[in-house]
Amino acid sequence: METAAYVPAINLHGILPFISLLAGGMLCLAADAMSGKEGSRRILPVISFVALAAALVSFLLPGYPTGSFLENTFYSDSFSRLGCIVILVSAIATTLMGPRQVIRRNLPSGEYYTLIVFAALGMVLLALANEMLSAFVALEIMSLSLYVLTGIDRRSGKSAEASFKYFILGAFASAFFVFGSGFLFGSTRTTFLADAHNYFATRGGNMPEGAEMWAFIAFGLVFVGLCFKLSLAPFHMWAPDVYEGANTPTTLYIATGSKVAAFAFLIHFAHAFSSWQIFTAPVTFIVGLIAVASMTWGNIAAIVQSNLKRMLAYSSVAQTGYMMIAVMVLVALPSLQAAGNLNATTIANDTTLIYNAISLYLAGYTIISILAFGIAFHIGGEGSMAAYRGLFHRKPFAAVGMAIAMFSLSGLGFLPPTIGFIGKFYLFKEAVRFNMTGIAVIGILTSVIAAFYYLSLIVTMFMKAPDEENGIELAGRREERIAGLGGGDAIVRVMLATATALIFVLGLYPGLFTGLAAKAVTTKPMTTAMVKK
Amino acid sequence: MIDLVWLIPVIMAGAALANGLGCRKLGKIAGYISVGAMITTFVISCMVFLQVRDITKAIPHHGGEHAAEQEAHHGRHGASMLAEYETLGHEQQEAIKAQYLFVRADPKAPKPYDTTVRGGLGGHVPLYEWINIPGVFRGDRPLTIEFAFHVDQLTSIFLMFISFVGSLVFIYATGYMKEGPHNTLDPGYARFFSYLALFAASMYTLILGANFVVMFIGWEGVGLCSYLLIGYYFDRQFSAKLSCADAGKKAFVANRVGDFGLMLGMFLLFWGLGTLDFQTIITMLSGDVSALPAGFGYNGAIITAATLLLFLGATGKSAQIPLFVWLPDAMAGPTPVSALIHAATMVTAGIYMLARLNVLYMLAPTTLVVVAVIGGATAFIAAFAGLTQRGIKKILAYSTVSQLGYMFLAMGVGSFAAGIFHVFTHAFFKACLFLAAGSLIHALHHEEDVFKMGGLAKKMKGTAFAYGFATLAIAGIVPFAGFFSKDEILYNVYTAAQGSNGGFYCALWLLGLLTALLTAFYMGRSFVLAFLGKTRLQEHPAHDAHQAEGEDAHDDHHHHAVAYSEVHESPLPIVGPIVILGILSLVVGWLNIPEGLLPLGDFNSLFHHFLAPVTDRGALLVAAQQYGYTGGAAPAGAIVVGEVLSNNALATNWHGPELILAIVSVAIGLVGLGFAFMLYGSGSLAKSECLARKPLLRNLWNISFSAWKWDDVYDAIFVRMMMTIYAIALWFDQNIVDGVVNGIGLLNRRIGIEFRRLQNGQVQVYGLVMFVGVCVVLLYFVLSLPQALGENRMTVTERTREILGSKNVSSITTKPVALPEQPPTTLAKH
Amino acid sequence: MTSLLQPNLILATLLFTIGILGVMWKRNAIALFMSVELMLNAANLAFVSFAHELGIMSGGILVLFVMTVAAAEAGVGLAIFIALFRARRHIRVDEHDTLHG
Repeated sequence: METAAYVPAINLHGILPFISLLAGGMLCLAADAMSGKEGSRRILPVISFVALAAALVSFLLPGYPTGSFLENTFYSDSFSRLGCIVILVSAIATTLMGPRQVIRRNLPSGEYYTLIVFAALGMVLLALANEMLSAFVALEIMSLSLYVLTGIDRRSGKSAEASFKYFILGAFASAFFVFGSGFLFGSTRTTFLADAHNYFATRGGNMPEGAEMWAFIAFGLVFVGLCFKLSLAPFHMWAPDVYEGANTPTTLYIATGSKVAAFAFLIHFAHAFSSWQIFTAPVTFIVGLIAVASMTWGNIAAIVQSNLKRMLAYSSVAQTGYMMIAVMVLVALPSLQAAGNLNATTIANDTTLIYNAISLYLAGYTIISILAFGIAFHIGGEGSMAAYRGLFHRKPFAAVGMAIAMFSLSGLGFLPPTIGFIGKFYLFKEAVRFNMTGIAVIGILTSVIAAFYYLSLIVTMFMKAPDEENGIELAGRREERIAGLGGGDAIVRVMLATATALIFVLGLYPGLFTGLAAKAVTTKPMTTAMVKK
Repeated sequence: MIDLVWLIPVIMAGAALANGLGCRKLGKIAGYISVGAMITTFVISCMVFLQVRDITKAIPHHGGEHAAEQEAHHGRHGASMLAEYETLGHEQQEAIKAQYLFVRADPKAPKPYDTTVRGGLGGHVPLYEWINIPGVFRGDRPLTIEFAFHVDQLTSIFLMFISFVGSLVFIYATGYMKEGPHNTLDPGYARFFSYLALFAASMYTLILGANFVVMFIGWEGVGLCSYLLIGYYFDRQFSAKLSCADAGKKAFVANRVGDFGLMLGMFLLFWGLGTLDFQTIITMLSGDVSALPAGFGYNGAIITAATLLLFLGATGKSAQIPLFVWLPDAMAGPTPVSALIHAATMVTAGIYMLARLNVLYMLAPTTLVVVAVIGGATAFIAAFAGLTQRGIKKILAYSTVSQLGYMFLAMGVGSFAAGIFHVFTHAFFKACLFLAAGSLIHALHHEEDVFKMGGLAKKMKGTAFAYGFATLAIAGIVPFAGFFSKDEILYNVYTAAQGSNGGFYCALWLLGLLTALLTAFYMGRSFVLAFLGKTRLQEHPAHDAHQAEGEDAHDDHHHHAVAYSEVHESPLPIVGPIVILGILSLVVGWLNIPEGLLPLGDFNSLFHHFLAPVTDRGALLVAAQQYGYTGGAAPAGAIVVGEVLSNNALATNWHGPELILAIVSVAIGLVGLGFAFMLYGSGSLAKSECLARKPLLRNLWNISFSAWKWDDVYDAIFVRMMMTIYAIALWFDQNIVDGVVNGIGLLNRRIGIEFRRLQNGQVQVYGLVMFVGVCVVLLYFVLSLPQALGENRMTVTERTREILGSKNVSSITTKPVALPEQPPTTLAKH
Repeated sequence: MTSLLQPNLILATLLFTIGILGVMWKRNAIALFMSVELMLNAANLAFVSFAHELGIMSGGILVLFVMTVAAAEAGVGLAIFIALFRARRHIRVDEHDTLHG
């Protein structure tokens, strides 16, 4: 008796970005092996840029599939697709800064670019993952690449130390993630999130004895693992040290790409549980707790920092905390629905609005980070505050750009509206709309605290006199000068100018963005199957 | 072309950006960029205007025989056709729209901008959805604001004259912003043109905006540019009390007060109607008012309050009582700025807004009375202040305030078209006057005092000719432009006096006439003093007068008096625009010759007929709603009290003593001019000084010269009050607010330092903190589980039904008991 | 047949806890890393016992992946330790605190 061979259906367009990134990474390795030091310094940025851009384009093409693909292992909706786009933008920004960074610290360019591309592959896979094992593998591809990128500067003890800390704590967090996956498997008998969703929907009120507990523990452990990647308090302790020790492009990459990927997966993961009604109240509370902890801890600790990169690390802790407000609203939706506050027709709409808010915030955060870290990189000096004293008098454009980034991050820049302000506004608006006024108030109060350190940097740049007139030769700039890149290069400048423009364009015209996300009929609505009573 | 109207502000904004970024490197090119951009926008404006005109022409021919009859009776009248249009059924309306209105030929064609008719006549050009907030609290109405432009007759008129006068002023400015014997460019040349272009962009945004918010952007933008340009010579002193920068600040602050009212008015309308779109608001108010919240009906409380607040905004921008004080000091800016911003365009924004919202204002008769009174009073008070001023720009500034008062007077009696017509003619002759004054000032090296001029007509023929024409225009001498526009306003006020509040409007009319007399006098005075008679300048240059020129020429205090023999006509870029505007000061009035004066058939009241679909909407609405008026054509403006219209005999046949009134007003103008000539014609000031010695006249002179001591009163009341409040606020701020803020800051710093101590660099401490976090999360989940389960505990029946998969389990007991033991394997192995 | 799930899970949890404690107490980087591996193995044990109990094969296969990833992690980790050792001449965990605050 013949049985037809099982041929998995593969959507080629769906995996095109993966192929392009994988091939790009491999090509980088091969090209590095085949060309000399100078040659690979020249050719590798091009290869990695092309690979990343190709992946970006395949996400941007309208035909990119929506829904499950590759045997339900991955799920693409417009939010995760947007996440991938943001990830690749941040990867491209990192690559564009690469040539200068490689020259500055005499880095091995083969490893440097290869790892950027492989990390991007891991991030993209993670953002689209809809299955625990794939998510774990993707997470590890991303993390291992980032550990090495952090410590790639072998001349620097700080770099090695940062890499070491990142690795130890990252592996620690991964263990939680895997252990949690085990419990999820045990309680729902699957590692596929879609199946888990269905399981909770059909059997959520009627689970075998003990399985509820396992599911709770599973969520807690996986959530903690993701919180680590998102650097949410109190799982953020690694962030300031790693941000400071890593080279600035990598810092940017960690602060944006890895966060966005983890965030996108968190949404997929939370969605699996959203059909389980008894779960919504506890998870809402925990997410809210983490959000509050991150906002306060991040902002308050940032005040006393004396290194720009450390300050931005704490700031990013707080920024992720703000994003968690939206997650909190999202996970609370089913219980609101169950309580009869929402009806089925508006819930899809409400979900879309919340997704809009998160998307806007996420994209805004990434763009602003690119600007802030990009200028920090452009100036050199590895984040020491001395480089910023009186910066306006030495490098007016850089100072103004940094000021725009700070205004925007603080959410103060509302005249003209920057994306930072609009993003915060939409987030708080969503929270208030669903009667979560308390957390919105905390968010606003902490951003007032945050204004203090953002503005004090501006004061430092504009109102303080430079330490030594023209005498400052910042770390990294000397090497660049010797290599003939004395004034920095045009690409980074163009990148920074584009980021600045986007901050204002998206601030003035968030509709450009929300309109894009409004088409997100394919985002998974956080619905619940009502439990019979 | 209407679809592309957004190009107009974008082009100007681009020019502003180019000049702003290019800064000094651009040199002369800065001027060319701005002039080129402005002329381009003029061309686009013309095309838009022509398209709008074609559409307007097309409408009245549609609408059935009934309309044709009306046409025969009342002449072609857009307003009546519009009223007709609204009585048609939906399908017919759609048919008309498809045929004539601003709808694209193929509605199904993909289009970037949807150009549809919004509740009235006009092209709606949405660019994008700008703000969309679906109600902050559940159940709130959403706030949706499009970035949209709206093009209709009113807009196209404004586009035309702004771009035209603007182009001329820009050209003029390229000549004017040069200094010294070598015609070196002013050091801020590019900055100046950047501001000027930015101003134009904002002004276009203001008039094109389809809703309050877009208009508000323009409104604030022109305010900003006005501030920047008044303070353009920020390092110079303007008068004894004020530096140029101070004058800028004064303008800005006065405008803030007005904007406060404008914003409150906007909020009030949004609160009541849930939209800020002009056409939607107008449609809502012209429809079934009972569906709206209370207070939006005829003379309703909210609509009155809202219109009054909006009018407060208008008084700020358009320099009316009580906020006019900034305009005379705004003359601190360069003369092209005074001509364009503070005479022809920006200051008419308030009038534009009232005309745009004429439906609202007509529904609020109380507000209209206020508008009329403020307008009339401002016209008189400013004209009176203008009588004795010495600085030529000061005279013109008061004159502007006074003319703006006339415009508001027209609005106040409901004749919006007449007001706009005066805006239109005023733009030409006042710009001409300012530019000519600038030419004088330029030629005399910053001498502005008319008492130190005289006899310049021989030296500066072109300037004198244009100034003379414009003077005749503003004095209201037939057939110059000002005559037609001012006469129409006075005529409309007179018509309003036929209603029940006749005495009141009659008083306003008399005030208007008196103002006309004063206007003719002070304008004649300025002309005579500057151009005629014997010169009061030095005849010949003192020796070494040239030595100090060059650098010092920029400085007001060190300028050297120019001798009469040295004066010569300004260069072509300056004189050309002046002469063109001078000729137009004669011509543009002919666009609106009333039938009662000179029957010309179709040529009568062209301007009014063109505007009527927009500006007469409110009047017709009120006449129909409140007085049951059914006729079409209205003697526009006279409708303020509605009852005038309700008397059909008046409405259709009453043309009033138009001719007599016109003769009276021309006579008054001539008397004023003649008196000025008598007093100052000789070139000597003796006669006037003699008059000023008489006690009564002396007092009047003082009142006039100090502009009714308005500034002093404000100083005494507001400034001093503010200083007291400021002192209190400062104390409060320094002691209490700072205390709290510093306290919080200190506390945060303390906590931050603790966090820092925790972050001691040891990776295992970090792990510990993480572990504590994990414990908290897991403990909370574990502890919350029983509670969560308790709420959802199922009955045995349900659980059993689940397990057996059977529909019919009625035999099993339904009593809820504790859950049975169910090892997971049982389920999994099915 | 009595289910082995309960004891297995208890064992896994114990191993996991021992791993956590090891991460926090061990002062040598290698020992610390071994503790992390112990945690991963605890997770593997949980996977296997669930897979056995539920009769689903995929759980067992997952373990292979986790082990592979753990091996990769070990490779990277040891490289990082070597780099750290080169830079600082020791790998005593608690003494690497240059980055702090």
